[in-house]
Amino acid sequence: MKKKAITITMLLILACGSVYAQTHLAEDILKNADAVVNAPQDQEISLKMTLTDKGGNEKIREMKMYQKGDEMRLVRFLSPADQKGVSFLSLPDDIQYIYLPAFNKVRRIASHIKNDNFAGTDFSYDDMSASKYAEEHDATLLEKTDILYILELIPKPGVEKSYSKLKMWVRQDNFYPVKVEFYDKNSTLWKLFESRNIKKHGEYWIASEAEMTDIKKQHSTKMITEKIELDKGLSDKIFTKRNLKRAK
Amino acid sequence: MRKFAELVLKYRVPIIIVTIIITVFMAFQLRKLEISSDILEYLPQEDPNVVLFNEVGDKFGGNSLAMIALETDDVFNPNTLNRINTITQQLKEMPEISYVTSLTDVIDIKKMEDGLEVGKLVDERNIPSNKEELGKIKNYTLSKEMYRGNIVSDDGTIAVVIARLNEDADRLVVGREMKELVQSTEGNEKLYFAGIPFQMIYLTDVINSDVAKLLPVVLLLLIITLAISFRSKRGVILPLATVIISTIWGLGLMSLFGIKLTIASDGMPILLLAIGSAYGIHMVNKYLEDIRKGDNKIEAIKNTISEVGVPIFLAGLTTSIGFLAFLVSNLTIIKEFGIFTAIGVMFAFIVSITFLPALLSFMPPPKIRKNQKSTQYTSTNRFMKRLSGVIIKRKVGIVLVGFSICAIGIFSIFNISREVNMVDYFKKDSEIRQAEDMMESKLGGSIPIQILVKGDLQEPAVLKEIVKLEKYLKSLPDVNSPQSIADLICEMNDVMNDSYCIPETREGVANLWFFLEGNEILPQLINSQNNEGLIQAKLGTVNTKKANLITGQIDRFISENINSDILTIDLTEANSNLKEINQKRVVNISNMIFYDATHYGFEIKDRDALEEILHEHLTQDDQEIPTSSITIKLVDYMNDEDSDLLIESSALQNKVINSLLKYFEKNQDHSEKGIVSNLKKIVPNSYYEDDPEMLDYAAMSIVSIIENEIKWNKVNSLIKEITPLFSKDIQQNPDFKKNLIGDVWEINDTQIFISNTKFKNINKDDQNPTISLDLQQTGMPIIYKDIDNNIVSSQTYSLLFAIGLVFILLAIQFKSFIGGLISILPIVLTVLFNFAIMWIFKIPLDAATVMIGSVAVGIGIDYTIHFNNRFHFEIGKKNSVENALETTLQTTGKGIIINAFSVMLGFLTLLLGSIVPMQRFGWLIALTMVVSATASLTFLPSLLLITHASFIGDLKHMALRRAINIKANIKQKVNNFKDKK
Repeated sequence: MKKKAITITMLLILACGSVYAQTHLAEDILKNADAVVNAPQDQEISLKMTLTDKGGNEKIREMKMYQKGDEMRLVRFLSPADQKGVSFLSLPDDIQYIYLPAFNKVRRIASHIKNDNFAGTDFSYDDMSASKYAEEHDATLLEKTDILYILELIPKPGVEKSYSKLKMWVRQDNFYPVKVEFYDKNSTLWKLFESRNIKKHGEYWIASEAEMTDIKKQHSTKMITEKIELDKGLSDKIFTKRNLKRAK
Repeated sequence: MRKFAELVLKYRVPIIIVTIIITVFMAFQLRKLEISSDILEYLPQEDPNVVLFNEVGDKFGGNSLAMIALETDDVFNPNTLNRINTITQQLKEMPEISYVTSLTDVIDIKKMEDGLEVGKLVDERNIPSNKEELGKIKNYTLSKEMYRGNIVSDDGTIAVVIARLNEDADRLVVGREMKELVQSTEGNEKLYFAGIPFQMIYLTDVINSDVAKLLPVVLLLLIITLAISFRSKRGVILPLATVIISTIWGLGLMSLFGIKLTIASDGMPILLLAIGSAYGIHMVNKYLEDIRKGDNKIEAIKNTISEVGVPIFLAGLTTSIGFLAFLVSNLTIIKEFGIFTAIGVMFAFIVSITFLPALLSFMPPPKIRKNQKSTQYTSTNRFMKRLSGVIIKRKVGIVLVGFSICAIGIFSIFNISREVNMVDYFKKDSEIRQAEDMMESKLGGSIPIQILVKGDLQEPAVLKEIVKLEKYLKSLPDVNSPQSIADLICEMNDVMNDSYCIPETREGVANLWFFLEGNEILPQLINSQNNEGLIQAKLGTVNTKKANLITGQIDRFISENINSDILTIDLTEANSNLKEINQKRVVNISNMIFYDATHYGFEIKDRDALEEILHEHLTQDDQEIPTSSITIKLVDYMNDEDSDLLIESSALQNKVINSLLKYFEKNQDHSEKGIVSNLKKIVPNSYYEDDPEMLDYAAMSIVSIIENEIKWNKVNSLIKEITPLFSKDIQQNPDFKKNLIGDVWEINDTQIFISNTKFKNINKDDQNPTISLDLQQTGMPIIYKDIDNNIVSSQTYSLLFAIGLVFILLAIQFKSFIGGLISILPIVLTVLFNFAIMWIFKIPLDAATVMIGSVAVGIGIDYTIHFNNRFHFEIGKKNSVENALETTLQTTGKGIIINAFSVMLGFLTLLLGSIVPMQRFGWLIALTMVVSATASLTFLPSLLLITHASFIGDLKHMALRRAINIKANIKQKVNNFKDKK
């Protein structure tokens, strides 16, 4: 896949240097980047999340995440102790459930506000969902360095986002997006996303560390993958309300 | 003094040059003179209340709330909502603004059929435009206490955008920027700007325009007075130049020291003009007198300096002391005003005896008008002659009147009201006052009451205490919409579990907390470590007395009713203390119900009956199992395809339910294990053989379903029993019912929080850890209270200090204790008269009127000194008392009246200003001048005559002589009469 992409790229550049081709090229890069990130069929990940506020205070949370395809995800919090067992289930069509062990209750959560932050992190619900940059943005190639492509992404007409544009750094060798800058409606830098420690697990490229920094709030969320299992063939039964409750 | 006069004349050129240089330099400083309208700057920054207030501001995103209200028929229309959204978005983008709350940007947690919806009240990206949807939003918004009366008025005609300014933001600059930004948005809504930042802007503008407006008027008045008195250019120019120069110096120096012009000192230029002009006038007057006597120019100047120099110096010194007395004040602005006005007065003195004569020496001597002498016997003189007669005849009466005024004054001191709220500074029809009045009547006020909470905010014990305090706050009149993290937890609990209260366990709180995490509202309510929080409410009154009453009540409630050292115990371990603990719980729940009832306008007909019912329910031993409701819930559970135990056959369902109910009735301390073995007996193996954990999870769910039903049954039956105790039907008010259920829900608690200090016997040797909680009240009302207290002490101490100092000074000058005492009495009378007027006309003490007393001492003392000096001098000339008094009144007395009149006119110009306290200050001090002059011309001589005070001269013997004279006179008249006969 990597080779194919590069071949296409080369061909395109050779063929013509027009703006059209540039845009086209940028969109291809973006599609590839989405594809790389969404490549695994399913994943079971143990995560450690560190929230740092502007005073340097840290909060640590541990969780386990099960994901199948683009749209089925179950997250269970393992720590802190008094939030142990709190679990989220996301299903297609924006259906979400939460389980609160203290009350042994499952409740459906509807959230129309995609740009609200997820559980105190710097990731919005939108950021947490599967990488679909190509589908929702128009891309242009700003620059090409030795090893990176730098893209500018602007939401497509009709696509509402809380940011006005994104700047994305994509690795040339494997198309993994290593950095994304979010700009607010005033075009000032608002959030910064970085993927680090990108390594190959089997046939997939996985970043075992990701950090989102809210520059305005001076708050950051770092997620470190402690354990990852890919393509285990997770059953659909995991992503049910009944299983959601089984948090013991 | 003569030597000094020679020096002045010798160095007249350098004096003029230096004076001009200093004046130009100071004039340049004036451009940097800033205006401060920050009420916090009234107080020293190390004042503990200021420190706490700033601390809270630092921690919770700023103390300053700026409120922009939009008024229209119904704010729930697309145009208004869009305008609110535009304003909200634009304000949010300002870096100096930490948070913005409005209809289009506020957290909303909505209860739904099978869950909840966390989001925004109105989606700012998708503001509805159809009527039906808008109507729905309107009804929903107005039904929620979180919004109603906070971001929208009860009637839906006013919406508010609330912006919290960063602690370090320049409120004036940001406020102006905000105002401009808001005014540039399109729409027909009427705009209001309320809150401290806008009050400050208004105050600054008003101070600015007042100074600009009033100064020319005062100058003009001064010119007219001078022109009438002297009828010469010199007579106008010299005193005028003197005061202008010294005023520039005084203000320039202030600016040089970085001191800002405040509500207290904005009258300073006018004060300096009014006071300082007297010195120049005396100089010019004496000079003209000497010239008239035939002195040559230089000789006249020398005489003037050496003869008038000392009295002017004394007058300047005593006046300065009057102002310096403000140094004992704790209020920074008053202290600063005192220092710089005192310095300004001394500048006026210095310029009058250096620059003025130096300049005078370069002017040609005036031509002496022949007709000058003939104007001696004017109507004033006749009046003075008559006055002197009246004084001699009615001296006892005058003294009695004087002392009665003093008595009334002393009585009124204790009855003068106080006003420190900034809003009160503005006229009733001013834009800012209208905005604040609207906020008060429609949205509960703009001034926040804040209570800083230090304690673990994820601890139910702590949150429950906060809820208790908030319920109390709500029950107080003029306290509106308390808000804290505890409300959000209650709100979430209501959404999750239908009970508007704090969950019993820490896990419960932490679970609910999950929804709130990351929400913008949190940093305004808690710190990031969750160990400090803020309770914020709105004060619905700008009345200082009411506000002080409220802050006092809150402080008392905190110290008497809030546990600061909390012990958690399990009810089963309470043993011998159970009775007492239950009694406490009853009182606690009953109080909460009482606060809620008060807030929602319900009356509890019989509080004892309420407590009795509560007690009965708390001590009930055997729990009733509500079989029918449990059955319904369990059937639902078994029918739910997502449940652990999906049973389709209703026969089997019935069997399961019956066996479970039997089990629960038999076993008070049921366990999940017990349920599992129970289920295993009935549910066929085929249900769970491929899912071995199934029954465990089913047991978990069943326990929580049944326990929940038991709890609800208890609460419902209790509510049913207490319902008749309320004056109105509780169903009428869903908010009250919601709170009532929350209050009553506590009967289910098994973890009880008690005061460790009150139950020492339980926690012997402190083996159980306790939870500490510390509540401190802060916020603007506390700052106002602090200022208020300081105003009273400023008044008391500065006045006593001024009177004391002046007394000492006078006693030294007259070398007589009695002399000092008598001389100070007219001033005491003046000050007390002022208090009596304030009491009668209900004029409050505020940052400006507080200064009247000391200013009256400073200026009034001049009259006494002048009078005493002249009277002493006249008596010394061996005149009769009548003659001495008459001459004194005709010369010095006239001068005093002219001076009092011109100073009075100067102060009356303050009436043209826009700041209410300065207006009050203006007319009160003008009145004070009249009273002071009158007292020194009537009360003082009467006192002197009655006491025969020796310091003034040989009055006693003179009186004796006079008596003999009178006797002789009478004898003569009698004889004459006899002769005629």
